[in-house]
Amino acid sequence: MNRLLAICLISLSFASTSMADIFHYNNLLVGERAMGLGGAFTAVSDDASGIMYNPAGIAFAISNDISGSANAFYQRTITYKETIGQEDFIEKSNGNTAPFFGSLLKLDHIIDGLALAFGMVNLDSELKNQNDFIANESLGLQRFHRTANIRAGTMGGGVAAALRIFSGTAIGIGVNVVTIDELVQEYQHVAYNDGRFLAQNIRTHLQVNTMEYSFGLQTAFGQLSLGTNVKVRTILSESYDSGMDQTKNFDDVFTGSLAMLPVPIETFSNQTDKEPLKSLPWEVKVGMAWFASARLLLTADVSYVAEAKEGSSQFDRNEVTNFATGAEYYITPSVPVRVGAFTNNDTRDEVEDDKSGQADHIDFVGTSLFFAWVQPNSQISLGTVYQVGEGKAQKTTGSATQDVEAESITFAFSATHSL
Amino acid sequence: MKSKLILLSLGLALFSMFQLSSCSTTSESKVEEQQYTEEEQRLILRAKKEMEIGRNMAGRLLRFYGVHNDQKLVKYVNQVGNFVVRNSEFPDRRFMFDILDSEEVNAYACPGGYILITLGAVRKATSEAELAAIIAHEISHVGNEHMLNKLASMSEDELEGKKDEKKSTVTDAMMVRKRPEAKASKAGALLAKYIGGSVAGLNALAAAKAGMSIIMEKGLGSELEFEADIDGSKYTLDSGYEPYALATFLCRIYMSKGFKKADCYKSKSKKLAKNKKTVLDRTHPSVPQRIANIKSYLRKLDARSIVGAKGKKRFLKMKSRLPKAKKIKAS
Repeated sequence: MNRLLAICLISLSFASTSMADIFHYNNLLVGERAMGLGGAFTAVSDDASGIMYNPAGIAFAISNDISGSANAFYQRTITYKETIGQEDFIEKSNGNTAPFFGSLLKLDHIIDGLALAFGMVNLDSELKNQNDFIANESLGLQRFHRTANIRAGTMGGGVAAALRIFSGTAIGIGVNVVTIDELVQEYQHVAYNDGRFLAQNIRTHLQVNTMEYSFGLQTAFGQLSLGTNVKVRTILSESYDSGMDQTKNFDDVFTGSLAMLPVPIETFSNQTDKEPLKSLPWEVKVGMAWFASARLLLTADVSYVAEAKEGSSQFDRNEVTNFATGAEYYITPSVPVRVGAFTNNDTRDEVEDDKSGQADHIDFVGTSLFFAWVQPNSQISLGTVYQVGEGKAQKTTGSATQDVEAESITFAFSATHSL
Repeated sequence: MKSKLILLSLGLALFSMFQLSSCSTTSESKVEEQQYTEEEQRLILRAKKEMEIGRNMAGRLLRFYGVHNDQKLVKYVNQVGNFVVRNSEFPDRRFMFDILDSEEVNAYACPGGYILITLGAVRKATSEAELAAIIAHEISHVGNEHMLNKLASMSEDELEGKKDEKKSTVTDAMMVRKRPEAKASKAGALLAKYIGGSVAGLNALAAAKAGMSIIMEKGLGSELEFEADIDGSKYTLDSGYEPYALATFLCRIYMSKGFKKADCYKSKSKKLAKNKKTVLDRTHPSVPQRIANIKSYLRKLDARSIVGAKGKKRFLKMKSRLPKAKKIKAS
C-alpha cells in the first residue's frame, strides 16, 4: 500500500510544469540608494531610479547624475520539505543581472523645477538549470530523472518627467515599456521497479509586452517628505505557447487504477494561448521619508497591487500588500551605510489541505545592507539583499501538501556619478 | 615608485613638448608613443595637459597682476620654495615660483607646479618660516592635483561657464536632502576621473578659464583648503621651520582687517566669517576656521614642543628690498 502510494506521489507529482516566478513583485530591488533602503524610496526617489519608484521625486534632485549597477549576482533556493518520502526536494535558480542603469537631467534652465530621467531596469531575472536524479528502492522507484531549465526575465525601460509646482511639492509622470519573457523546458523520466514508466517533455514560453504609466506626487513638510505613486498597465501584446509529449505505460486517466498497460500510451499537445494574462494589475504606493539630519534618513513605504485574474487561471494573481522600511546613515561624510527591510508576499492562493493541483505559496521577508563610498562627484556602493520565505506547496497530486522554506541572496555593486 | 613615475612623466612631457616645438613629424611621435605602455602614455598625456593648463593660468595671472621684477627676491623665493618641496611629499616634482606685482595678500597654485605669491603676501610675512608656510600650502594644492581633479570632474557646460548663466533653484525641500560633503581623496579623484572623464580629455583653454574662475571666485572648496593647510603645516614642520608659522601669518592678515587677535581663535563665530571682500576671503574658509584646523592637527603632533627655525634675519634682509607699498589693485 505504501509502495503504491509512493508511486502515486512520484509518478504524478512532477507532471505539472515548472513555472518562473511572476507572482512576487520584489524579487529584485533596483536603484543604488533604493536597494539599500529596502525599496522604501517612494518619498525620496530623487535619482534616476525615480522612474520606477516615484517620478515626482526627480524634481528634487540636487544634481544631474548617471547611475549604473553591475555584476549583481542573484541566487534563490526553494526547499520542499519531505516531498519524496522523507527526502526534501530542492530547487535552485540564479541570475547574473544588471538591475539598473539610468540618468537624471535637471532642466531648470528651460523651466524652473523641471527634471527628466530615463532608465533601463531588470525587474526580475531567473536562470534555472535543475538536474535531479533519484533512486529509492524502498519507494519502489528505480529511477527518477528530471531536468528543468528556466530562462525568465522582466525588463523595463522608460522615461519620466517631473515638475516642482511649489517649492516643496512636485508632480511626475513616467512611461515604461516592460517585457516579460519566460521560457521553461522540462524533461522527466520515471521508471519503477515493477516495469511502469513515465517519460515526458514540456516546453512553455510566455511573452508579454506591456506599457506602464506612472503618476507621482511628492510633497515636503520641513524634514518630512510624503510621496505617492500610482501605476496602471496595459498589455501591448502577449502569447503563451505550451507543448507536451508524454509516454507512459500505466493508466492514471481512464480507470485511475495505475494498472500497467500492455502498450504504452503516447499523448501530444501543442497550443498557443493568445491572452494568457489578459490584464495587468494596477498599483499604488505611499511612502514617507524623514530627513532627520544631513547624516540620517529614515523611510517607509506601503504598496498595494490589485488582483489580476482575467486570463488563464494558472496566471491568476491576488491582490497583495507589501511593506518596506529603510535607513541611511553617514558613518563619515564619505561612508554611508544603508539598511532596509521589506516584505515580498506571494500573489497566488494560499495552499489548502483539502484541494489538489495547487501552486506554491511562499511569502518572503527581506533585508538589505549596503555600504557606499562617496566622493564629491561620485559614489560606489556594495551590498547584499537577503530574503527568507516560508509557505506551502503541493508538489504532488492528491491533497498532500509540503512545507516550503526558501531563501534568496543578491550581491550588488553600483556606481553613480554626478554631472 | 609613484613619484618616480610622475617625474618620468613630467620629464617626458617636457621632452615631448620640446620635440613638438622642434617641428617633429607625426611619424616620429608615433614611434615615440609605441615605446611606452598604455599607462605611461596616459600619464604623459595627463602631464602634458597639466602643464598646458597651468601655464595658461599662470600666464593669465601674470598678465593681470604683472610680475615683480626683482630677480634676487624671486631667486630667494624659489630657494625657499624648492627647499620646502624637497621636504614635502613631492620632492621629484618640478615647481616654479614667481612674485605677482599685487599688494593683495594671496598666493596661487596652478597645475603643473606654477606657484605665484603676491608682493603683498611677502610684505605681510615677518619670517622665512611664514613665507615657507604660504608656499607649502600651495605645494599641497599642486602636488595633490586639487585643481586638476576639480577641472576633470567638471562638465563641459561648467568648464565653459554656461552652468552659471542660470543656476538651478535649490529649494528648502531640496536642502534637507543634502548629504554630508564628502572629502575628496586621491582614489576618489581617480574614480571620478574614470567615471566622469579624464584630464586628458580636457580642453586646455576652457579648463584654464574655469581654473581662473575657481582661484579668483569660487575656490576649491573648504575641504581641499583645510587639507592644504594641514599638508602645508606638515611640510613647513618637516623643513625645520616654526610649525605654527601659517597660523601666525593667517592671524596677522585677519587682524589687519580690524579684528582682534582673540578673534582668530573664535572659529564658530558666524559674524567673523562674513567678510568676503578679497579674493582670499572669497575662495577660502574663514581664518578662524583655518587656524582651528591647523591647531587641531599640530596639537596631535605636540608641535608646541618643537622649536623650529623662523629664518627672520635672512628674510628681513630680503624684505628690505621690497618697494614702497602701492594701493591695492581691484580684482
